[in-house]
Amino acid sequence: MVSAASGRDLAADNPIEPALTALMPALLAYFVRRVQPTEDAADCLSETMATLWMRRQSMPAEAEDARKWSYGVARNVLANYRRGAVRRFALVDRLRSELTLHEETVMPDSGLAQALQQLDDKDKELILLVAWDGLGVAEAGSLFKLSPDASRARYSRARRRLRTLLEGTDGGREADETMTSRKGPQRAHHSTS
Amino acid sequence: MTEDEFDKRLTAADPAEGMRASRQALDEAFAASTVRAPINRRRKLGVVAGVASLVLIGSAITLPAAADAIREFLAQTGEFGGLAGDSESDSSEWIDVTQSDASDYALSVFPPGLRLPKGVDSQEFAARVVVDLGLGSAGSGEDEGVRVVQETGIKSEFERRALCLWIGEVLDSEQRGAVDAEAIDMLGAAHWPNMSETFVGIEDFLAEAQASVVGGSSELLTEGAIGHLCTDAERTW
Repeated sequence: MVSAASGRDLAADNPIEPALTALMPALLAYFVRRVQPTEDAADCLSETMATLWMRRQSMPAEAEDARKWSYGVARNVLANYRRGAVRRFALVDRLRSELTLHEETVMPDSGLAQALQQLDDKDKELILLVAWDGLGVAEAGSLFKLSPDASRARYSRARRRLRTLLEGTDGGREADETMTSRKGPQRAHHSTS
Repeated sequence: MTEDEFDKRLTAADPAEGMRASRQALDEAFAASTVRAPINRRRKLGVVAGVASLVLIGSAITLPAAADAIREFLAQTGEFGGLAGDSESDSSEWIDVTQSDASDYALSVFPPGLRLPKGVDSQEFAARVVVDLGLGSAGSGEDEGVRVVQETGIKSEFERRALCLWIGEVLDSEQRGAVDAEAIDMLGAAHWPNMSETFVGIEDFLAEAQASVVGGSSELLTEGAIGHLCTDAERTW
């Protein structure tokens, strides 16, 4: 990988970089799912990678552990973003531009968004980490410092509640026609802040 | 709605579905992060590894023109300001941390009037921070290749270490069931002007953490500060 900024070969500089860069697509998706406007995900990703880069010597060797570690950092960056503490950085403009294009293709699922909005923040995040980010239930719960058993119990309760809420918001019907072609609920409803 | 239908609906609602970022964009973002880390963040001189490498390579990234200044230490480069192409605005001097007098330089910029908890000797504190910074060499491990840092970063490191001690005071007093008003006051960002220059979001974080502590909860302070700002050792003297 060659840095556009410097012309240097980053991967040759540090052998841990492939492991870090491999995390980027999933982390980018994590932010795309949670920030508005979508292109701000580029800055959040940059913040996250900056932190991971600084702490690269603490990166767990096992891929699963490394992923969990990176999501822990991403959660904190997201909290900073919601406090307005993540700044725009010119060097990620290309990524911002690509994300802007993505946003234009997204359609809303207002029923689900509304139901999610009514969940407790942690319950909602637990469900989405599993459903969208592909984390295991225990893995997702560990981000909230929950034990595996507590994670599973909370996840089950949260799912039940979400289903009940969904049935209340749209009568339990399945996704309508717009759902089949859509890519996500209205972003404005996604914030857990 | 069956469980399967429920799962499908959740999955179909994923806003990132279909999202594609080019490898080039991700590579650029990663490269930007290795530049950004040292500019925005803390962690002794490890934070400058990216900058050091870039400056040593010295291709597209260039330091601004040297300014006239009194140079009392070999460690002073006479170069001031942010990296070319970067939006950050730290105008302080770049310091060559590999010079033999880099430690002396660091001690010379110890923030005057830096408040420390009772019982902490300022000279001993400053000396300890300087030792931990590992000045006088190109560094090793995480700091390998480090050559230059900005003066603000060094001052900020003194402040960060002092803040960590105050945070330790706040948490210790809480554990004792006491309230240390001075320590809580020291959580205010106004006491840490150099950190405000080098840490993204530190002012907001400290304001929220301080308010939470005043309100009886140290959870934010514990999670945020301990998780990101200080090691366990740095909170005690």
